[in-house]
Amino acid sequence: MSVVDDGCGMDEATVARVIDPFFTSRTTRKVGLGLPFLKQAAESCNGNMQITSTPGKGTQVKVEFQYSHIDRMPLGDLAGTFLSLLIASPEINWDFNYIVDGKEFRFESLPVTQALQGISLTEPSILTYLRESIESGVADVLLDASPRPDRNPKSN
Amino acid sequence: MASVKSLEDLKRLREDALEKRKVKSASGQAQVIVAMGTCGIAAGARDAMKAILDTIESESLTGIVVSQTGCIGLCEREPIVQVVIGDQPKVTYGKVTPEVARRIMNEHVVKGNVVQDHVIPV
Repeated sequence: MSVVDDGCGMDEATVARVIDPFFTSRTTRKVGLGLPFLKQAAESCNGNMQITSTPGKGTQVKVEFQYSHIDRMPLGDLAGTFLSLLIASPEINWDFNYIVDGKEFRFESLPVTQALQGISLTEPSILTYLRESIESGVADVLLDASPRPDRNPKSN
Repeated sequence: MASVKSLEDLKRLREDALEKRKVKSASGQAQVIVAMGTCGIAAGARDAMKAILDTIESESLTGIVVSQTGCIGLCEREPIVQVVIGDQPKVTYGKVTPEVARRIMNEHVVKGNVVQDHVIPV
């Protein structure tokens, strides 16, 4: 799994500290738990986390898990996760890519926000459109995938 | 975009939404903010968010903007949801289970009655 952005990026010293749970650039509190937890989750499943970042260009977080590891947490409701991210931060141009056994579902938010021209993503009919589009896209990728217990888009 | 629906469908939905906006009274837009920091997510913020979005869809609630924020420093009160209606002061709710989220939507966002038993004084 990887998360890539073209944001402000981090210098080397910040990248080195970002896996410390008592480091954060936020001012509301003194802990930053997301990346340390992700790293711990990956390493507890024979995996790893790598961060590459360039100031002014962006950051890539890449994380690997041993799929069959008994401690690997399930992906859960992936379509719901994509939808929540999109709804809660519509100012970001999201590009979701979900690939299973070579079959890919891609959802880009920019064409959507451009077509809407300022209409909120949380208008009920728009919300239904987005939810159904993402749910059917994720389900379609899983249609031909090898059967595995947690490959149910509605699980969790 | 791989989808069973097209952007043309979306443009048509946009026109419908614009029409509904015209007939809607100027009661002020509602903003619902879900705290989605690691502490919030661990406490169930995703379930609260899902309940809020489900309510918007099932009740056809228009004029509501849903957004997120990070940890606001009240981790022990998570999941936290904040509601701002028009020019009114922000109301902060704690321990927002999906059931409480539905109450907040139906009682506060729709009817304007603050759900007092979950308000955090800030």
